Amino acid sequence: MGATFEPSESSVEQVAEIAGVHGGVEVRARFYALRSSKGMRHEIALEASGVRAVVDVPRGGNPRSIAERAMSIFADSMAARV
Amino acid sequence: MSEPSVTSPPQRPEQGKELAAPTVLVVDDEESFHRNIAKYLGHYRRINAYTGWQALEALSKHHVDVVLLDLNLPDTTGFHVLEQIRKERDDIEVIMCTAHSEIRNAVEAVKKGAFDFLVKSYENYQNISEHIRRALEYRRTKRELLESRTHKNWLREAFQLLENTRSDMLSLVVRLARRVADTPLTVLIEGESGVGKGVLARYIHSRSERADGPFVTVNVSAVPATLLGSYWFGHVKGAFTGAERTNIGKFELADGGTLFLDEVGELDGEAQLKLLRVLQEREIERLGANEPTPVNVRVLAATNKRLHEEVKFGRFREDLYFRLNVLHVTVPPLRDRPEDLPELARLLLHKHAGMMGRGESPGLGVGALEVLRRYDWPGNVRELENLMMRMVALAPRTEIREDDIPPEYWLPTLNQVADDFVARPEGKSNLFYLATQQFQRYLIRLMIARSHGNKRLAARALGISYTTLKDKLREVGEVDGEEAEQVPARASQRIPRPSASWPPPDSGAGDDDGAGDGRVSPVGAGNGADSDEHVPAVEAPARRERTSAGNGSDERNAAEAPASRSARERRGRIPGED
Repeated sequence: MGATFEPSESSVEQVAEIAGVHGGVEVRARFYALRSSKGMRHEIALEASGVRAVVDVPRGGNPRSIAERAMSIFADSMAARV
Repeated sequence: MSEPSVTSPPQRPEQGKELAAPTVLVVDDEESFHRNIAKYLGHYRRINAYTGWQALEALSKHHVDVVLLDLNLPDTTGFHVLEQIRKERDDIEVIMCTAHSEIRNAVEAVKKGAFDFLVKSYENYQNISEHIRRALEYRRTKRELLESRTHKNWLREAFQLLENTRSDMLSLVVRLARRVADTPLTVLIEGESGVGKGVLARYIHSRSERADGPFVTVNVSAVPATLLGSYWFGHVKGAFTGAERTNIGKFELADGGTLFLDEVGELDGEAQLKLLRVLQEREIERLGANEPTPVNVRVLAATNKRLHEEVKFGRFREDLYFRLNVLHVTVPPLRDRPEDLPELARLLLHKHAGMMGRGESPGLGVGALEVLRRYDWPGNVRELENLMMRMVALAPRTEIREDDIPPEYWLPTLNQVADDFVARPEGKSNLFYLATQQFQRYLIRLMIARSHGNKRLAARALGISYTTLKDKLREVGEVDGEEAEQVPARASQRIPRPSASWPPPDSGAGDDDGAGDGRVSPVGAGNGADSDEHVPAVEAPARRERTSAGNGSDERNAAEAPASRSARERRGRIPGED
């Protein structure tokens, strides 16, 4: 996919990537860990059919469980985008 | 028997011509009471009535805010009048007045719905303005509660309508909204102005686990960029000159709930960056504070712009757009979902009938619905709502017909007739007739509504005779023979005793042509509280005669029309009126 995102923190590391097909739409999710003086947090970069979105995971939140629901809704929303 | 009269408060130039003084209906058979109380009601518009019958008739023809009602009246009891008022009207406060301070009367009055119970005394006369002010305040609070309840009911029905939409496009949007509701994901709602983006946002909030938390709306375009920081994030005491105390901002206000950012496409670059930081960090910094404050807020955003195009042109940050873009839905315009129009119009009629205190909401006739269907609604649901609000306010019947719809909404219908003719030119067209008839009927109904049902006044305003107006109404089946015969004065009518059906059906309370029977003759004096103008009307039995101190009136509003006409009828008809 090769999409690039520029998360805000300087210390950024891609920690995982998953892909799935929802309703016939392929969705890819890449997980970034962002470290700063406040601690670590995660961002999930979603991509489907050339459309991109970012989900910020609140500190202490579980990125995996959020990603699964986000991927499914993101894929289904492709049909509602005019 | 004295005749009822209307007295306007003295006009104070500094308050301008449009002084809207509350109206007090004073009901007492003692002239001395009217005289005494008048001294203390200088700032109110006053209507005097001397019997229960006159009081109810005045209520049916004038806007009244508060009634001062005597317990003992010549034709009935004050309690009976109170009951009649409560049966029909919830927006009028009644203060009972009596010379006898019996506790059981006071209890009875309050049980029957009176706001207050006063003993006639010099002290109470002096404080009467304060009692009326409190009654008006109480009514305002009641109205606010009603509006709030109506709004909640309306939202519940609007949500049902969303869920039962017949539009495939909107149905998909609602399904997605329901699925995203219970997630922390942001939602971007796009759509033209007035399509109901705010209602969809509320729907998402109501279906989320945050439903019991606050729903805070921020219209971004309404806040100056320089104030946005303080408005969103609040400030601490002493943060800037004039910051005398700590204030919390909208994000903190929405903590535990939902923040709806309307018109998010209007954010300038600096505000976009601030919003991005909050979405990333889930914390805000009050102006002047040293420490950030964590916030648990779910953000929903709406815009009538194509946000990805704003990104392309560099007017909207791409990184912020990505964060709003997880669920991106577009609410279709009303013209693309005409199948929802009947139910939506019904719901809006119901909403505004409730807010205006009308018991039943009017229905929408087939012809009217057809006109609305053909219209393309550039202002979407908001435009439909404005129209339905006007219809509730102006349409006098239980059903709204096509002629009630303002002319600008017919144009697509007339276009359709024209198109049909062009497609089949061998047929006949009545386009010109149709258009002129529609416009005439609309204009007549509009003027009747503006004349508060006084058809003679409406005819004069239109510059046509009363007979012509009746003929026009008869053409559309709105005047029957009985109504046409009702107009002459009924001087021989007897005042009935109070009964279950009192006032009697033929008492004229429902005369929609402005009576003409002379039983109520209000006159706007506009010359001070101490100079009541009493105009003797056509004699009716059991009435005390009063002498007019009339000095004329230059007001020409609808409320005065019956009086003017009574006077005219005594003088003779105005040429060309009938």
